[in-house]
Amino acid sequence: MASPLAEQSTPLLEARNIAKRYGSVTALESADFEVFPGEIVALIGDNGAGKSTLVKILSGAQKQDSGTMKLRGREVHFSSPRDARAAGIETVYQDLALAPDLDVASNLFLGREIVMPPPLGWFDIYNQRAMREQAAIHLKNLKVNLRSIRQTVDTLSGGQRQSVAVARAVFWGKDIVILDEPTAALGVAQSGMVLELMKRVRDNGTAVIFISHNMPHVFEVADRMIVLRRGRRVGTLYPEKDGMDQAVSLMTGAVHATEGLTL
Amino acid sequence: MADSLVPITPTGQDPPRRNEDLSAWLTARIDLVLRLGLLGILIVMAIYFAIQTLPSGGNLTSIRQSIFLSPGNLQDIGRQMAVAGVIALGETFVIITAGIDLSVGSLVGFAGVIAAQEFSGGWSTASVMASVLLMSLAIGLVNGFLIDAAKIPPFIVTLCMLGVLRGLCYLIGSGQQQTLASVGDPANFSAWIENSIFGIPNIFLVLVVLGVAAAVFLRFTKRGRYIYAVGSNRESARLSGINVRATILTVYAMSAVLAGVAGLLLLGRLTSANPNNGTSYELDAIAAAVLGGASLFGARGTIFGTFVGVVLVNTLSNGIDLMGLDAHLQQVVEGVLLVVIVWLDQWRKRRVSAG
Amino acid sequence: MTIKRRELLQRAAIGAGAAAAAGTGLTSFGPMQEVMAARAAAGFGGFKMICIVKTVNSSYWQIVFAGAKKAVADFGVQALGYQGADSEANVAGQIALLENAIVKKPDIIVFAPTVKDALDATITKAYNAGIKVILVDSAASTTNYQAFLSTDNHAGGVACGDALAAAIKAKTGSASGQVAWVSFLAGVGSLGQRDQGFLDAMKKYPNIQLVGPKGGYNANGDQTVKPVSIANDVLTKYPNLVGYFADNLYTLQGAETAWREKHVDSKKVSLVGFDSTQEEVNNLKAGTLDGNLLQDPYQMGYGGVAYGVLSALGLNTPTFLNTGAVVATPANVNTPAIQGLLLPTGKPGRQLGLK
Repeated sequence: MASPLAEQSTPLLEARNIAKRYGSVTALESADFEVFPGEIVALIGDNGAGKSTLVKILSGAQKQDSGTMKLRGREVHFSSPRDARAAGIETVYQDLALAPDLDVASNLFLGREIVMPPPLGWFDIYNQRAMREQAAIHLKNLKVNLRSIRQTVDTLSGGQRQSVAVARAVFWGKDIVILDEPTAALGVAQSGMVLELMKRVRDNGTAVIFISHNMPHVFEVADRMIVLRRGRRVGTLYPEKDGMDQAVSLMTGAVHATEGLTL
Repeated sequence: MADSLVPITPTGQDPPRRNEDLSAWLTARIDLVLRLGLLGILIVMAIYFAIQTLPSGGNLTSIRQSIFLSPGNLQDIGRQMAVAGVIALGETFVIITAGIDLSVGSLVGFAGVIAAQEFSGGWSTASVMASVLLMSLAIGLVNGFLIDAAKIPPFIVTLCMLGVLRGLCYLIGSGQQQTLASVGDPANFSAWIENSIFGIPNIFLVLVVLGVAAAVFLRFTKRGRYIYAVGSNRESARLSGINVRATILTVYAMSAVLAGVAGLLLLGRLTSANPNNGTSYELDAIAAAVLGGASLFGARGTIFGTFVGVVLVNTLSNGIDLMGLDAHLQQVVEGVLLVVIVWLDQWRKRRVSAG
Repeated sequence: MTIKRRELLQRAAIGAGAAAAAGTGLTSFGPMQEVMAARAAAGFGGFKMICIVKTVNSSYWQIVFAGAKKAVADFGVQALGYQGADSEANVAGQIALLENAIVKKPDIIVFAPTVKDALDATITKAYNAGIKVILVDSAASTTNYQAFLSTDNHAGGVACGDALAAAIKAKTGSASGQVAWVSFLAGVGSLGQRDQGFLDAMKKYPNIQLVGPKGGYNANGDQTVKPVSIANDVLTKYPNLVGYFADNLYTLQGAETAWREKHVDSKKVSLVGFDSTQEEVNNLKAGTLDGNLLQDPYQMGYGGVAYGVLSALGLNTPTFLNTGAVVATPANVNTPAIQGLLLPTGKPGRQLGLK
């Protein structure tokens, strides 16, 4: 497990004082967030704490009402997920966004297919061989084991599907990958597969942000944990030294917030 | 700390047993099996009809003399399947997106009625064809727009369009059959359609050319792939950056334009436009596509499979006639085949979601 | 009622009865027209009439309507509607139309039953409601109607058979060889009578061999492509065919298309069938059609309304009127009498009745 990188001065992605209201409901009052390269950050909090909203803002799916975001120290504004993707941030949603009837390679390149060179390229004919080769190499690097690259996604197990979704995100988003509840639908063994993959991704230098309710999983892979409660950041914990009971207490408010007391 | 009571293998699961492996392999290839199975049924059927229609005293060695295999008869089958085949091509695209187009039969009749009116009004063949195809394109775009933008189910939208177009068929020309003139452009038009090159009917050649183009588009191009993606999971396709609206508009537009082509072919063949033409052709198109392996759940089906389905249906009809059997037998056989194939498709879907 | 009026009505009834007895045309409606004009002058709004045929999508039935409309104008009848189902095979649709018509309480319903039995109950309902029911073209099984005007379909079938035999003899030297025939739909009164007439005529020519299934081929109600494929398949199966009979317009047109597609040599093969449109006129003149049975749908429409008016006035009408059947051939196609029957609505001042 990597050592805490809090000493590193410039976060890869940083968000300060993010606020977001949906009508009369305040999802985020004032939340801060940062992630450094090559670390896994878990975003934890009880239901309604604002985790999903924060992640949607970070991934460009929503726009904040107030607050700033900086990528590599420079201010950024995302008006759509496409902007975030262009900036190197890829998100894996809970439903994975895979096409079950298409094969793994097709899914990896979905929407971004490699096209044959001209003249075939003029007719938009795609280069299946190149895509399959690249997909095979990529999955091998991440040690995602499948029977065949030609398998259709609907024949994969839940853990394999999640892994393919994560692998796709990593393939396109070399810098930051955001995972929304990656192990929520998985059994013990399948979760293990995904958690190992997350660690490998981190070791390759990509920053991983993930939301999870599963405390044991969080403690297994996260380098840092950012705790949200009622739309605010109430603490930062390190699995090395902090325990699960501290995390839970912060989440439920049993313990006073250690951060975010000043606006 | 992580719960490591269960050892975690790299694949995260126990090595699969041999039986599971084989059946999983089969499931994944069920469409190949179905397609080959269908082709097999077709070949068996053709051999059976060839034997049954041998001139008296013939046996297997003289199979070439079988009436069924005679050039005239094969040409007939080719002509018979052209109109239905062209429509089935378009329907395949739509079905792959998990949609359905019930309006194609009415559009065939409508195209014929409009073309006949234009011909009798003195329009040239080129302008008749251009106007009919443009109109079909517009109708397809309307279908696609209502389905994607207004989010009305395809069944409803195309069913309504079926009624609207059929009604227009009767209103235009006040329900009368319109015969094409026997001289000039209309006559040349139907003469070309009735003609053959090297013994192959032109009308069949049109089907083959369109079929090859459709197959290449669907199988080898990006946008063809997107059609499968949208049918597989529309939201995933959207999130992956695929223009779902463009895809939906494309498939319904293609279905409509192909139906327009089919309407022109039918007009040329019959040399007259009856407002009733094309009734229930959409059902035959859907049946052929489904027989050929297209799944109404979407994301499955090929042009080749549909083509085999169309050939099968028309061969069956022809063979039954040549053998002098009751024509209703055809409906029974087709119905049974459809049930079997749809059941297999359902079984495949259940197996896969359980996996 | 004044004495003059009664005299006029009696003359009208005698005239109509005499025409019926002669079994030819309808004449002598002059006096009845005078009666109706007088009544109109006295403020009578005219009897209310609804005309329901098998389908509106056919030139044959449109001619029936044309005749009916002329009578409506001549007798000052108030027409509430001219209706038909969407196809000749749609029995349920026709039942619904008839039931809706009864509700409107007309004085007269002129009606062409799609099939022999299924409409009986509804016809009886109309009859019992006091509506004067006049049947045209096809019979029903019930006797609950005032009058039935129709082609003697049996006689028409016989005439076709004789015309076919004559054509075969003229071309090959003797009335012998293989002959096939096709029916449009099973269970239809008029078609069944035509087929029976044809078969009865064929018995007179022992050297003619009827080929195909025992009950003839059957197009199953398909108006466009099945008749073509049947004709094609018959030509394929029986290369020595000398004659073909089609019992209605759709089956005839299917045969004409097949004749064209297979480049049938009309010097060897003869074709005879029922009903005509411009296409049949063209083919008669070109010699590719040897016999075309012309019914008189114009008379049926006119006479149907006229007999309805007679009934509504309280007079007896003959129960059956034979509106006549004539075979048009390439030899007589240009004669005025035949021309008047071929395209009755195209000829102004169409003569009622044919001597």
